[in-house]
Amino acid sequence: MKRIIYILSAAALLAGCSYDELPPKTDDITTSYVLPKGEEPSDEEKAFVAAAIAEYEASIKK
Amino acid sequence: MMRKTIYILAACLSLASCNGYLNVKPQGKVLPQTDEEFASIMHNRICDIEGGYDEFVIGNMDVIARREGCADDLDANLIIGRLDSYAGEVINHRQTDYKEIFEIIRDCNIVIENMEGRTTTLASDVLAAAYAMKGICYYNLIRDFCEAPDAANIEEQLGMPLVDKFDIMDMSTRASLAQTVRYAEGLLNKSLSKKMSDGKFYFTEYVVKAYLARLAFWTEDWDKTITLCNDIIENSGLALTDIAGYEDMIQSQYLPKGEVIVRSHINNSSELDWYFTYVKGYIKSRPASASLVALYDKENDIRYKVCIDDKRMGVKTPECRIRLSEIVLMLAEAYCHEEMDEQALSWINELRKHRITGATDLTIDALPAVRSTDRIVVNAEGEELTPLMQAILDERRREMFLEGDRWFELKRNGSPEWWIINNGLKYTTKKYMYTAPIYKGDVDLNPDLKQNIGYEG
Repeated sequence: MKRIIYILSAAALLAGCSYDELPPKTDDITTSYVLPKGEEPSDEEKAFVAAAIAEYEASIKK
Repeated sequence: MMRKTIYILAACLSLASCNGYLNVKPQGKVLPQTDEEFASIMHNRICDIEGGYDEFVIGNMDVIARREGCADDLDANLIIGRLDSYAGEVINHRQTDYKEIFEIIRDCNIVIENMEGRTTTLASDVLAAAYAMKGICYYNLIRDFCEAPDAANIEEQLGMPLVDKFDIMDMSTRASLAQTVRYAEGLLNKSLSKKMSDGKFYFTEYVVKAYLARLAFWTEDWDKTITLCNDIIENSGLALTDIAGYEDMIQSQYLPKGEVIVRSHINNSSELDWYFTYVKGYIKSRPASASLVALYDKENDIRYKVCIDDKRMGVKTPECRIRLSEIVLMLAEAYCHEEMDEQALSWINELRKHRITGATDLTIDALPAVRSTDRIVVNAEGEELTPLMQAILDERRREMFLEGDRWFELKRNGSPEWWIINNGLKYTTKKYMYTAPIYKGDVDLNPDLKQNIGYEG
């Protein structure tokens, strides 16, 4: 009887398939890139944009 | 006790089993067999193009909206509107394009692998479509995911993985840019060699030749560009649309009219027209830049009258297409690079006659001097602009407005850096952003697949 138990125990332990259905792991779990951050514009750059907007508004009033 | 133990062990043994039935690779069980079944793979993709759903072969309105949002013909410093503010904002959207394009290449590979050698007319036409679609996908990958070609270093520049077989475990690495260009050209030539007999497979002779011309032009092969463009102009049976027919051609909702060689969205099979109505609104939410508007003869140029309204908003129908005028512009630029200035200018004058009422011919000696304030200051080969090259680039900018072209014009002509202000902060389109990141999932999975500069972190 003990012999049957040993055989069944070994069979139970060894049964099963080692196939892994999960996709391979990647380096990390993120799937996105961090977007670049904005910077504080200089006064000169702000003035450039203000002038462009003024030109646009003047051009569509004609 | 002993018996109980045996029952428990026996139960354990009977419950243990293999989960192999979850195997995710049942290729042999699902592949089509007949010519018609393989044809349906291509029809499915072509249906996407015809309905305007496809973003990765011919392209659609979404693609135009994204590219124009990142470029500068529409000025985000005036009004951001409902478009993406600049290229840095769409990095993650662009990386997924890589994955989607390779899914189309996968479908083409399934067809090519299984149909090559079959002798029916249907098999030949389906193969021609598969080679053409795959070749165009590689052309699109080259423009988006590789740096602008540098003829002197093209053998060292990074290209794309050259995937020849359907294999989901494939771990290809990147070939050189030169190898990738030859590969794409080979695919398009294979399509031509099949002599497609049925127009319903979309990629007919002059469509494929137009993409070969685009590929040669992008990679600065001026001799080949000249040969292909002259072939298309002389033999395609198309002529430049004149001023009277321009509006009908450019605003056509579904039909490829006039000089159009190929376009997407020729019916509403994708049932996305409700969505495209919104996309047109997004494009119309940002005004044209002062530098673009200044290039037009506002009284006499039909392109200005039809494409830009009195608030400077773009109202051109935003469809992805190749027109004969693009072929003429490529020919003119290629002649200019080959120092055949008279031929170059004669084609620019020919196009102007078809767009500007009362246009007089430009002459080499009377061309305007090169402007120092423009964003593009060098040509595709990195040399300072000449008055003739500036005239050609200006004509191209006028002609191709709202067709998703300006982004690539900036990329191939020096990739200049520039900025916009949005919500009080300055965002700069850096040189590296002209080249999109490879899909992060693929790079993480395959350490030998090199990421593009700027995105490695």
